[in-house]
Amino acid sequence: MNDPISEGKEKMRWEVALPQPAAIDAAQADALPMDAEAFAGFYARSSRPLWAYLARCAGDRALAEDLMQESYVRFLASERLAELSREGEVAARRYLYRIASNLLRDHWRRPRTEPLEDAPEPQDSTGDATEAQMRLNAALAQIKPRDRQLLWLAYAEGYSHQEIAEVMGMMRASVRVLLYRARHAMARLLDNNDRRQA
Amino acid sequence: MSLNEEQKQTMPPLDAEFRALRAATATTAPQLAPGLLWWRAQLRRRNEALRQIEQPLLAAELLALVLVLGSGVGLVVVAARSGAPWLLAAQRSIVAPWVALFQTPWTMPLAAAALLTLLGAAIALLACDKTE
Repeated sequence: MNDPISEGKEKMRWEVALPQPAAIDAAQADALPMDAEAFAGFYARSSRPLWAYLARCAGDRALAEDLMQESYVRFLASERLAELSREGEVAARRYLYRIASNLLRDHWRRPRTEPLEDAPEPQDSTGDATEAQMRLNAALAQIKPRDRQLLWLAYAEGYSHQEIAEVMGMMRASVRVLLYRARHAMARLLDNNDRRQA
Repeated sequence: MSLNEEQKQTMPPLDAEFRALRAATATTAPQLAPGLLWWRAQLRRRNEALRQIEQPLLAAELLALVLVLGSGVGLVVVAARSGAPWLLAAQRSIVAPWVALFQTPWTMPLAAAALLTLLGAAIALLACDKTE
């Protein structure tokens, strides 16, 4: 017959001897500088712009969703989270974009079976994209992935050269030159697309 | 030169179009559960912490193995120098047949093949362990 008192004693002995997963979780929760509630607020403010960046740069809705999830998980698991919490939301958001940019770059570096040109475009569920947006979207899909990232960060996010350099992991001077070339490439594509339509 | 000044020189201003595209794309964002992401990150941190705890344990196990083997070899050497009778008896009954066996011509290639097989299995085991 089972004795609940001796069972309890046995359990206590084991609990002392071995660290229980729940105890590790609690220790980790204490170590995390951002609690679930604070993260939910940060997520609500940052997820839509991050989604737009990933969807337009990756050109694939499913991939963008995967990368967005992975970006947030890496952000939360980062050793720098405590430091970022002190620096404020702008720094945290920039760091999040940096993680996302690195994930995009890693994805493009991986050997692929499907060429980028054949990758599906993100679908606009709104269905009411203006002519200007469609024109811009078509040109964005044609330029190099890195140029797409640079232009998006500069014009959609309004980041400075310094901020883009931090997000992309580049020198500020390189950003200036590469952005200049990306703008030229974009201008040429817009011009060519307009002529073709006319 | 500011970003806007440079932009005006190279292409028509597209800030508004970019921002409109950003806003339109943002409305299609998937609804992920932030709580789930938070717990996934917690789990990843915990696994990383456990991995870091396990690393010194593996090193300690290897050190213990080296110490045990070293002690065994040391004991045998000391016993051989002092001419211990149990060692002489062991040499006659255990070592001598093996020495005789290795004097035959086909034993060495067979032993080399066995050793290579053993090493291959150990490497395969380690590779499987890493991919898990």
